[in-house]
Amino acid sequence: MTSPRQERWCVADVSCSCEATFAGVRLLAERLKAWCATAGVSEPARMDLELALVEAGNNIVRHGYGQKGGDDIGLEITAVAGGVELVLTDRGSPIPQGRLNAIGHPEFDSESGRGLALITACTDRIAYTESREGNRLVLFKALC
Amino acid sequence: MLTINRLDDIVEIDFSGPRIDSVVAPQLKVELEQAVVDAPKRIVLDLSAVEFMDSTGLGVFVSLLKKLGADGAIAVAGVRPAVLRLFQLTRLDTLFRIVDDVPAARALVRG
Repeated sequence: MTSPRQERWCVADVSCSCEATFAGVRLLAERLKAWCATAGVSEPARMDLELALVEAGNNIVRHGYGQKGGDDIGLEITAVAGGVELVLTDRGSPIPQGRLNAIGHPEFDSESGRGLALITACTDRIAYTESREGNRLVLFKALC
Repeated sequence: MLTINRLDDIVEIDFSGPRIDSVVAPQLKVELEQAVVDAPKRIVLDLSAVEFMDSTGLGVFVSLLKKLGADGAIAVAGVRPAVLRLFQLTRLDTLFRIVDDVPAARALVRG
């Protein structure tokens, strides 16, 4: 049986990191956009991937690190069988248990709280683990 | 970041930057709040130069809408695909009035 990682497209994967700031998240988004262009990812899929990445990165900066900065966010972009996988890593406070299983839309007039719902809407599968080595969020987007 | 044009009955706000995200949202919120002080409550937002917006940027617009109150109106013009996708995913395309261009937005808020 062939694992997804053995069926990668013929493009270079990306492994990078940024300072845990909103400006840093912008840099990760630029790396993703460049990779998508190289890999020939469709514009609708690219838009969803960018939004999911930015929302996830923002959550790490805002909630994981409490906007203190001074630490890093890691990003790996990998073409896998049937799609793209983004892996975000950090060493901040983890997403509270159960939060990923109870994602809903906030009230219409809410000014925040839409991040996780957007990540879910823009991707096809989410996995999250926390350990002593840090937190690891895996986002998979299927590509037709 | 903003170009503000106050007409007699409308405030038109043109966003020059390509991204409305968490980097610029705090300053943008301040500038928008200042733009609508003692001004008409009919607002046209021209987003034709904006290529990307995240939920923090969207929250700034929600805040503006709330600040205008029940008799306020916002029409959003020139929305590009990635920004439209954000409005649709959050269902806020039902709250904000989205039209193709600034003339259509003016007509909409004038009723």
